[in-house]
Amino acid sequence: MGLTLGRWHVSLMMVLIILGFLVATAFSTQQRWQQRPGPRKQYLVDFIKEQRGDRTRLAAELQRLREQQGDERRRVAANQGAMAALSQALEDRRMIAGLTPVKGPGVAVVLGDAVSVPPGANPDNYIIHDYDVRLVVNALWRGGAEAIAVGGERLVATTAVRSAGTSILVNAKPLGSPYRIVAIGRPERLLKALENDRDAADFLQAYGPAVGLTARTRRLPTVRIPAYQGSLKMTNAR
Amino acid sequence: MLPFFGLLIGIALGLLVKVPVPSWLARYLGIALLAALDSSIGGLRASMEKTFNDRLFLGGFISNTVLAALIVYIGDNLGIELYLAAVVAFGVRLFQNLAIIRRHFFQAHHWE
Repeated sequence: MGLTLGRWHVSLMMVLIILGFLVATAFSTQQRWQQRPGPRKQYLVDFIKEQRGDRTRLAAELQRLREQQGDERRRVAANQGAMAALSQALEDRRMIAGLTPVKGPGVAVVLGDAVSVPPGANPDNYIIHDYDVRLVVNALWRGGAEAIAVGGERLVATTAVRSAGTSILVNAKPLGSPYRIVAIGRPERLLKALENDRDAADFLQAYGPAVGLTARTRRLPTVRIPAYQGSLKMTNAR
Repeated sequence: MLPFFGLLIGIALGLLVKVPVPSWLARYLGIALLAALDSSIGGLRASMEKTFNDRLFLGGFISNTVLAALIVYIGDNLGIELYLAAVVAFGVRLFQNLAIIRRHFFQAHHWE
C-alpha cells in the first residue's frame, strides 16, 4: 500500500467513477420518486379528483336520463293506449261501414222466380223484381239488422238495389234468380220484422207462394257476410 | 488516493447530470451498482494481495455487469425474479472480499 501511482489505481478509479455515478443516480432517482409530491403524484391526485367529479356528474346525468326514459316510456304507453283506442275505433267504423267481413246469428231469405208462367199470364208477375228485394231488405233493416248482403254483395251506404234489364244490380253487380238475402241480427226480431211489415209479409206469405215464386225464410245460427268489395272513391261529395 | 477521488468524481457527476431513470430501468441500475461495488471491493482486495491485474479487473467488471443485466432481462421476461441470483451472488462475494480485506489490513498493521 503505497502512494505510488500504479496502474491499478487508474483502473480502480475508473470503476469507482462509474460506481459513484451509479450510486448518485440511484440516490437522486430514489429521492425524486419518494420525496417530491411531484408532478406524478400531483397528477394522480388531480386525476382522481377529476374522475370523481366526472363520476358525480355522470351519475347525475344517468339519473336524469333514467327519469327521462321513464317519462318517455309512460308517454309511449299512453300513446299506445290512444293508438289502440283509435285503431279500435277505426276497426269499429270499418265494420259499420261494411269494409270488414262479419259473422253472427241471423236469417236468410231466398227469393226465386217462378218455374213456370201460366199461358196468357203476364210474365212480370212471376219473376222477382228489384222492389221485391228492397221490400225484404228494408224489412230486415227495420228489424235491426246489423249487416245485410244480397247475392254475396254487402249492402253499404252507397249501395242501390235496382233493376237493370232482366237482372237486379246490387253494388253494380248483376244478380240472377235465386236471390239470397242474408242479414245478421237477432233472428227473432228479424223474422218478426218480416212478418210485421205488411207488404213484405204479404209478398212472402201470400202473393209469392200463390204465383209460385220461391220465398223461403230461414233462421241461421251463423251467417257470414263478406266485406264490401266495390269502389270507395268519392269524386263529387266533399 | 486516486480511487477515492474517482468515487467522489463519480458521485458529483451523478448528482450534477441527473440522468432520468424510468421505473423499468431501476432494477438494471441497482444491479449495475452492485456489480460496480463488487468489482471495486474485489479490486481493492487484489491490490492488497498484490495480484491485481488490470485486464482481469476491468474485464471482470464489464462481464459481471453485462451478465447481471442479462439475467435481470431474462428474469423480467420470464416473470421470474432472477435478478435475485445476481444480487445474492454479488452480495455474498462482497462480504467475503470485505472479510479478506479486513484480514489483510490487520496483518499489514500487525494488529493480530
